[in-house]
Amino acid sequence: MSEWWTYRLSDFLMFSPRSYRRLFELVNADLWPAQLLVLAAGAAVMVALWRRHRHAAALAWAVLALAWALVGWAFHWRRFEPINWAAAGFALAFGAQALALAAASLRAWRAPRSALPDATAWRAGLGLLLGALLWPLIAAALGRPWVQAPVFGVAPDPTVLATLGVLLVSPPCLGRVYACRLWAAALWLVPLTWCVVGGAMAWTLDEPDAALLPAAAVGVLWLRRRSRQTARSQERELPAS
Amino acid sequence: MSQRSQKSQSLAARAALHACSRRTLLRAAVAGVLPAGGLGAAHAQGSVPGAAAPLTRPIPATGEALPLVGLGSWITFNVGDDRAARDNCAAVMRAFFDAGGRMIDSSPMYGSSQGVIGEGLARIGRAAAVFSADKVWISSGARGPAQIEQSRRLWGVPRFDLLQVHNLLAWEDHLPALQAMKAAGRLRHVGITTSEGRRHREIEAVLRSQTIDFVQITYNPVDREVEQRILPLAQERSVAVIVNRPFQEGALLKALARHPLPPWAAELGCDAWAPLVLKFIVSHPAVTCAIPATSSVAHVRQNMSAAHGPLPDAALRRRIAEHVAAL
Repeated sequence: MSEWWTYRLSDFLMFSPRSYRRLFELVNADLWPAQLLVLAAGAAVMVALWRRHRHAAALAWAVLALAWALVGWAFHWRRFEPINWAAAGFALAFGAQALALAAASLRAWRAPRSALPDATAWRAGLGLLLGALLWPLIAAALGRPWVQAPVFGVAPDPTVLATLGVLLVSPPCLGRVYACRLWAAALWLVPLTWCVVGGAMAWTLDEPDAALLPAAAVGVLWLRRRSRQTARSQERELPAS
Repeated sequence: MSQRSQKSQSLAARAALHACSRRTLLRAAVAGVLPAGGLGAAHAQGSVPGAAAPLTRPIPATGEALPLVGLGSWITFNVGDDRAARDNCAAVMRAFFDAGGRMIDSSPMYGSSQGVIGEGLARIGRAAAVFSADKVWISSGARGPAQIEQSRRLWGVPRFDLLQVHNLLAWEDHLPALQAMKAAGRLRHVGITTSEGRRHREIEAVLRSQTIDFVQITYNPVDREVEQRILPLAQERSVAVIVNRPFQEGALLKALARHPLPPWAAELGCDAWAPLVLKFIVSHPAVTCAIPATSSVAHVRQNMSAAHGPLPDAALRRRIAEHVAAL
């Protein structure tokens, strides 16, 4: 791209705020009443994680895998791609994340005991998951009509927020084994990337909730770092056998 | 002045003698503009019978008259499969043609816009009236013809009136192909585009070294760099000028909306900032037409109103630019 320094973020936006909001309305209409099922599944995940059910992590990853697949196909591929070239890439990334989450679910089912984060991260993760499920209320409070509400499992932002919450509550890996850390990093990659991409897009479109996702990502990364440090210090304090 | 330019101006003047009032002729002499009927009824076939024809300016290469205001499609017509939004775009196009508009501009870069235009043209039955301006936008010269054919199918037109190399992307490969299409009668005009002041040196180089019919650039009372070199060069080379981003994608009008319209805008018959800005643009003698994009029927009518009534002279153009710059 020549004279690349003269381009602004808005130069890459090829659709209007009106078309973007209509996107949510159209996807909601396409999938209704599947939203109720996905929200119910999300609520079940929350209860299972709250109660620290043995298979809570497996259930969470399975529901999230379904949610990411649905968003990738129904939102990005079917509705967003005709007005945004990049949406085909988003659909692929969401599909890949769905597969990774499905693999995480299988892994968690076979080995139900996962590492636990510290209490703050655990509470914050559940808070994020609750926020994701209640996102339509946040959107309505910010002046968006109900029919255009972003819903968990249908729209990307609440789905990504819920995933960040589950990654905090039920971290795939807190240990030092390289393969384990690589696996965990892979699960974080797409959600965090979407926080940047989706946040930038919403900011360019002047969406009132544009800062929510990037702020959540920063908070989650800080809490994850804190959790890892806590886990390491606990390892050091263990008496040598 | 080149022979091509003299020929087209003489054609325009002859046509004007048939169709214009003394006042219009005076204005035409000053600004080089004519009412749309001036070069034959065929060019105004899209407008509503009885409606006042918009002012036009001839394409230097052919003398064909183009209304001073066209219709862009960047962002506004990229509505995907949204049925209600597609209906709205068709209504905007209908209002545009009813007001005597002809040129609609698009690009394969504009997402679903080409298909939306094609569907709209078919629905309102104006495919024969449109001056179809599209672009080739692909880095591979070899894949240009396939992209152009795909664009043509989406528009639903037998051939394009104008094809431009979008943002000069691989222009060295595309321009010869477009010239060959024109020579074979599969295309009427050839051009190049840029926007927001980018690659102006290269635009100048192409204007000097190649024979093209159109150049598309950004120009408005705030972005006036093209007045220095590109607009005079286009005039010298008898190249028609299309002006994109007349409202800076809405940002200029948003900023101006905070201020009252100056009382002297009434002298130009302007009751809003949009037609005043457009009149500033199209009154530059090198400019052939401006292509504001909109998704509002009311706004397309307001934009088309800029192609009616008096245009500002040099002194009033300066006043508009100074006034806008001071706000």
